Amino acid sequence: MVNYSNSISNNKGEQKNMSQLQWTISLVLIGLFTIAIIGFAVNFAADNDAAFSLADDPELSALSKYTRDNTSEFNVQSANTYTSILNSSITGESSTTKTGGQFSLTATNSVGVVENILRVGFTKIFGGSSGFGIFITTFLGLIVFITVLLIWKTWAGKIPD
Amino acid sequence: MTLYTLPNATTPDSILVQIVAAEPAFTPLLLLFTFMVIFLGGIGRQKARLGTADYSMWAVIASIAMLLLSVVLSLVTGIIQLDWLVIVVVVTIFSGVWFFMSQKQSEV
Repeated sequence: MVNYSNSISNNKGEQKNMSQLQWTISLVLIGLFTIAIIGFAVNFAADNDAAFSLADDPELSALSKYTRDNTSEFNVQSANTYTSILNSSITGESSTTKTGGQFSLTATNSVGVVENILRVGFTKIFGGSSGFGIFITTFLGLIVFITVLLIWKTWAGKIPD
Repeated sequence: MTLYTLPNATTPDSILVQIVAAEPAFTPLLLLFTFMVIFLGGIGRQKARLGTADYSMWAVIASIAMLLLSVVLSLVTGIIQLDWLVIVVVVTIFSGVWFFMSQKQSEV
């Protein structure tokens, strides 16, 4: 029996916590998946002259736009981070950077993508009741908490698991 | 006594529209049926074959199949409402979130 894994460096069948690299890739892929699904539905309706289109729903149209903007920004910021790392130097006896600028693209864009997706999605299914607002707010906070923890452990030179 | 008004089968072009007009729950239940057949069937077969199943992967596959069916149904007025199409898209996206966040063994 051959088992395959959909995650990096976890092909032995054991359950592992996500590393920062896996976490960031997951967040970005969620954004790309969302863009693909909404784009397919909208283009299918346009190409086939459908009776109505997903583009008629303002909130999902806005979600698509926000997700595109965030992923575009992710592209720009990752390129900037790449350049800054290449231009930086590590002084003797230092194993960490003085600022956390290299991690800014994860926190500001990828997490924002997932937050928008979850917020709009839950509102569409469950409505905007205050009781459910507590759940979604806590859940979004959990995502931010995990991201911050992974960034801190990476920055501090620990294994980010 | 009939439970609902039977559609006029002499004009089959609009028979689906007439069925939905008589029973508005037809479309969402058809979509739910499509989702569940693929989701539960896929999980069952994968478990029989491997002893384990990737729930999130089957949720994505079933959601995409449901999405394809719903966008085809949206070509004609009166079969599916925009609200249901939006919900199907949201369920598909959430399945993707579950899949990409999942650390479960996968065959993808």
